[in-house]
Amino acid sequence: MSETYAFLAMFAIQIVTGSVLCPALFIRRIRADAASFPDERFAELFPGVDKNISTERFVTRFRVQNTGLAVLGLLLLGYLFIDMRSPDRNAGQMPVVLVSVYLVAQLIPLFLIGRNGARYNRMLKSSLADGKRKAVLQRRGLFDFVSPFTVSLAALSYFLLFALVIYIRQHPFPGYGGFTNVGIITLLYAVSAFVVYGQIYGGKKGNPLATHADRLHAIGAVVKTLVYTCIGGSLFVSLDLMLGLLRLGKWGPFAVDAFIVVSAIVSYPSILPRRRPKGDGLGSGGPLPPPGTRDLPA
Amino acid sequence: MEITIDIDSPVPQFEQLIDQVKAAVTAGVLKAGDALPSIRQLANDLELNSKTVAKAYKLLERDSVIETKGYRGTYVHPKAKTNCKFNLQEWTLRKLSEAIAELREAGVTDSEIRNAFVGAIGRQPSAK
Repeated sequence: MSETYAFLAMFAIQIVTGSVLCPALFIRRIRADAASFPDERFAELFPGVDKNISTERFVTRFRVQNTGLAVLGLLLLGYLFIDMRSPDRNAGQMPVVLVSVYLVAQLIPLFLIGRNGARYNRMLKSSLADGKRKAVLQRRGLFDFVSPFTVSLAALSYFLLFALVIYIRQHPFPGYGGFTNVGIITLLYAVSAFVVYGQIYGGKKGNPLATHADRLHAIGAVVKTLVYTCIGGSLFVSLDLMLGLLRLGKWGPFAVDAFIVVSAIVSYPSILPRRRPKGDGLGSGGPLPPPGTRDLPA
Repeated sequence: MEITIDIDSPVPQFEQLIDQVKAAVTAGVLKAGDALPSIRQLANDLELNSKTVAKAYKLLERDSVIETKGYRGTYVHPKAKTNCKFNLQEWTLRKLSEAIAELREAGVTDSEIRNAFVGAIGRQPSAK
């Protein structure tokens, strides 16, 4: 029964993190972005619209959406509490499915914000088209955003999972997925690597008013979140396999929910507004090349 | 160091890029051994075609202002500051003038020099 209570407690944390804390941070971000937006530019773009009133309206709408989702989550929690407590009830995968569907619902307001933001940036870009394009002559690399230790940890966790899967193949348990687990994690790593590469070297600047430091902050947040998600994904699959191996499969729903909550918390830095820095945090370093061999004739 | 490309300017974009990199090297903002962004990164940041940035890098490399070190990336050349002052066009003109003067002294006519120049260029393997 303790696994049921642990799962329900974790689900309650998911409701709080996803529909209360995360929106609160987002509202902070929205207010900070709105405050840093030049008033005269806003007046040009939206004549006759008060910036503060429209920001507060936007914030209220976002808050209402998330409060609705929190209430829905509490109702779902109540249902699960009643349903899972009955001793003769075998819920199977139902709690995991419900938690996953609820997670998707929690992401809808953020998705809407992202869509609106992209539309707004496009409009801003076309209004700012002055024919001047700026860039900082500074190389970006993966290790400017995450430490080599963290990247090594991500690689190590992948290989350890691979080793664990090979080990469990010799002592399989009912429902063991084998190399499917490795396949899923490989896909996660591949997609993350693709997105990280695109963020660092490619991709256009979304917000045309964003400074170089803002952009580095945004790239850093995405890169860190993805690398940590890869580590978390490997750990979660390993934990899930261990639970199966130790005949503790009933703790599976709790493990899934814990993974969701940890992933949400890890992604918080990408939501927070950037602190005004003293510098960009990037060095122009790199190894010094050996003396050149070619001199142009005088 | 920030660079600005004016897409409405009559100066070609790759030339603007070359001029600004050379100006940064001459001013000491970019020092020997400093890492430069990759072609892809700079092209994306400036929203230019990567071929434009590649052309600028190629010409800077030809002038020994930058050097490419394979997968390690592109760096400012150790003698970039000196090489920035070097004017390749002027140097070419001077070398040709010297050769023409020598040929004239030997009694070769201008039309013969012109034909010989075209023939000599035709015999050389094509430049990259």
